Amino acid sequence: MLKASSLFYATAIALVIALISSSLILFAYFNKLRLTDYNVSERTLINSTSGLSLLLSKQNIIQLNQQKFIDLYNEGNDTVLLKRKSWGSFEVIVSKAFSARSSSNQIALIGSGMPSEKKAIYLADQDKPLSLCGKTVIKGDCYLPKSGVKRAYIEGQSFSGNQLVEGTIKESSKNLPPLNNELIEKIKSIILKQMGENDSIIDMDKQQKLNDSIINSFGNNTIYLLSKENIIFSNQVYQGNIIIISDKEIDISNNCNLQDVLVMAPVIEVEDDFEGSLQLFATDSISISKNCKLNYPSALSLIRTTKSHNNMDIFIGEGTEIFGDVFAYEENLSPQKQIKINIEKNVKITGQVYSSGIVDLKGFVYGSVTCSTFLLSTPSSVYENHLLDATIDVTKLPEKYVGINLTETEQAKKIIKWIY
Amino acid sequence: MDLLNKKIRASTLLETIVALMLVMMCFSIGMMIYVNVINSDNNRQKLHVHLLLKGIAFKTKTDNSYLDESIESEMLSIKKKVIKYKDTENLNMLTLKAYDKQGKLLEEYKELLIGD
Repeated sequence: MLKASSLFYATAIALVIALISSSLILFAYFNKLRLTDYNVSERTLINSTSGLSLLLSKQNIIQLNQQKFIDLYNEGNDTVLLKRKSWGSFEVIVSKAFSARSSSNQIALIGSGMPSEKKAIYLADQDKPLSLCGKTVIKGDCYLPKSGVKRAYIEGQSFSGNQLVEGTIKESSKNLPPLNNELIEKIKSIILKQMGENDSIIDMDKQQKLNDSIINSFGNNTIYLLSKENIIFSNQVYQGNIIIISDKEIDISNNCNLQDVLVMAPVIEVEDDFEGSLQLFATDSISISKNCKLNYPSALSLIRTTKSHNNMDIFIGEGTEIFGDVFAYEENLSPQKQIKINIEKNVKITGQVYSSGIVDLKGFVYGSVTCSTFLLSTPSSVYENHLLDATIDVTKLPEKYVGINLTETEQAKKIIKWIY
Repeated sequence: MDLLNKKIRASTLLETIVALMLVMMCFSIGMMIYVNVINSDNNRQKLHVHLLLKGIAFKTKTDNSYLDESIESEMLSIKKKVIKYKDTENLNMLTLKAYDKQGKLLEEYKELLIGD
């Protein structure tokens, strides 16, 4: 016998409809929740990007080594934490936007874009022409002394090219364009060990005994590794927000891994075949041995202090490649005090070279060279304002190259790379 | 013949009416929910508008076109406004507002962009 019981069937159907309806409600609810989350995280991301744009613009709101909360649109909903911090010759900017359920933190290493007028050489006018010999190649506009450029014959080699300078020649002045004052102040602050209130200090001598490695995010406070004695890096990894300072000498071997760190000492020596990306600051000398590779963005900086020796130099050994800028600076040049950048054969520098004194160039510079004098040292003699088998080619400098703002000209700030 | 002789227990009229009412009620509530869910799909429209505004902001950046303009489409009217940001030299504040045909504000997008 079949049972009719329509109420039972009706209840069963109602239950099914109720289940479908409730799953629809849940679907709509979660969909809305997800969309709200997306909107919130999207807004924080846009706000932190806007914060970065603010820091990259010409602004007076956030000064160097300062951090501030800014309400971007004065509506109370778009607050970001903005921070500018000097990082050697460059700058680190931090933009953090947050809401109740989401946050976005962007950290970038920034530098200066290259001026629109790309010059290959700026040679101060000391009433001596620039003489070219051998397979020397100069491509790009040049600022040269009034006496200009000429062919010369030395060491049994005369100039073998068709054109002395492949670019426009303009007259230089007696003095070089002065080095950017802000840059000098930044470097002095490292030399004088000016630390932030919350920065950490580690005794490097104890650290060396532990033979430990450190990786520090730029979101954290800076770690200073200080030593009054020589520091020898070997089989160690130091990456990120770390400044290493010795009062005597720092030796870097090729089996250590240094990325993005600052290294400061009166004398710095880098062993053959080292590879890394770092900024070196010295007050007496920097010596880079053969076949090293300093990746972008690296910087070699030599700056005179009251404790510096009379003769200061940066030596770059054969076969070394540097992607970054090299500069040696002293305020008051005198015959007793010399400052020199020595670039050996087969060295490739992609970036800017600036020396307020002498440059001895035997390798390749894909970028610009600014100096008071070129000095060519050969086994038999020393020649002033001579170049032999050297290449200076500004056309090979990448269009989007971002480096150090070496001179006072105002350049747009640009992102070098994103850091963690 | 056996089948015809079988006794079938019928439901009472009241039981049938209650069942019918119950099913109809559930069905109508279900339909209401369904319509609501479908209508709440304006979330999708909001998302669409947001992505559209984001695209316009990106184009403003890449084309360096920092001029006020109105963009009309079948469903939307978008107003673009660019003003100089306070205490800066080369920073612009971009505001994009999307309205529907009834003039109701659907979405607002703000971003700071570096100009020339």
